[in-house]
Amino acid sequence: MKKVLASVVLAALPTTLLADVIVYGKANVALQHADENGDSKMELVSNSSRIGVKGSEDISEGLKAIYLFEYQTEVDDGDRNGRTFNQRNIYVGLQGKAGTIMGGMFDTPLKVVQEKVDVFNDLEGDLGAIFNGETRAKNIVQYVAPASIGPFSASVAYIASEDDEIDDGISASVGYSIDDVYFGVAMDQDVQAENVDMMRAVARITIQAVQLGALYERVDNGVDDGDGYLISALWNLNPAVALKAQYGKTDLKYDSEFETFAENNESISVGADYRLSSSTTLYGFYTKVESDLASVPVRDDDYVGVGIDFKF
Amino acid sequence: MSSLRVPVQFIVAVFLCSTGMVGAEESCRPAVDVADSLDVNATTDCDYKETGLNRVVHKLFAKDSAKPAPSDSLPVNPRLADRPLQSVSQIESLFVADASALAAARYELLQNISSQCPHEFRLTDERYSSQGKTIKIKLSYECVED
Repeated sequence: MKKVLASVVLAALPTTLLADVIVYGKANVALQHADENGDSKMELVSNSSRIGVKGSEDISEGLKAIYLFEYQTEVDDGDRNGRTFNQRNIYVGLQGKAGTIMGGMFDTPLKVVQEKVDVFNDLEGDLGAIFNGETRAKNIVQYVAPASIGPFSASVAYIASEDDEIDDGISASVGYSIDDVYFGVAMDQDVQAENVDMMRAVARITIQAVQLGALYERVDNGVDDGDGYLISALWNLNPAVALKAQYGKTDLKYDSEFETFAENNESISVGADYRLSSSTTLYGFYTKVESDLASVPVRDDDYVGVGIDFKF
Repeated sequence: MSSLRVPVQFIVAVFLCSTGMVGAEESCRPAVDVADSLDVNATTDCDYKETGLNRVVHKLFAKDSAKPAPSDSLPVNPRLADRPLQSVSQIESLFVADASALAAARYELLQNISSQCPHEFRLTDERYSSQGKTIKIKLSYECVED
């Protein structure tokens, strides 16, 4: 099936681009028991399974075009909002010695600055369950500083609201990465919603077999402001087995269903990964998520499950 | 029906693990993880064209572009001057980031050259260029006929 999908996607590309095309993706499914506010069920869930193509094409000496097309597909039932494929990150841009300029729909610098700190990424314990700023922005234009600035990285993005009545957004980040240490800071202004500003600071350090991560976020929605933090740990017992745990707490989290900010959000997860190869991992996890709206609990959810993650 | 597949895969995997058939750790990150980082400067850690699905895709769609292009003229070793040469060509890898990936990339290049040269080949030049913390390899070679 993947070969068929890849063939369809690639058939749409000019033959001259195929030389540098990389097809990539992942299929991640979990069989889990969900207890959501007292309602229990067994479910098979697809966790951000996707397929994409990316590549580059030399234009002239020191200048090339870059592109990426990525679509999410639901491995469990093949349907999300009535569609088999849903757009994820997509961009096209130019890359030269002075840096990269790119436009499309993709994750903001503030979202990307989290790097590998979220050790339950794409699962129920994903930091997006309680944190703001996990924005895949539409109509975004971004400049990325070149690799020549060494261990530092920097990005700044402009997000057009395409509406005179709504302020355009700005997202920016800087990072520092060397050996097993990473630091990053980022800010959003009018990105998640108008008058919602936030900043995020991230640190990750790997000491032999143990990776430790921390994330701090501050949000100001124009009426209230609040803090949030997350700590994570991943311990590689051996090349095949890793144990991991993560805890996060935030004062405010925008709830798109109720179109307001949930309060006192908390998430805790523990789990284990069993790597069969660099591409295939079996995993198990337990996650608990809690949130209030005006002091009324709207999330008191528990999840326990096992799954498989195949990447290519 | 589909809900049964994960437990079956899980049981099979546990069996494989219990018999010691666990895959070795590999140096290259899966391409999806590199894409997920949206790091446009990390061109790639590895050359994915010769692995997994990409190997099939490139063989299906990029046969013509996979053929090495003739390079500038390079001096021919006099020892081999009496042996017929097919051509002098170049092949290069994508950028690689660490020592193990570098070795793997060079090995892949040599494998690719072997597939182009049915008998023997020799390297006529080996060049490296850097971009940030990454390195690109370019090998020039010539096929030698018996």
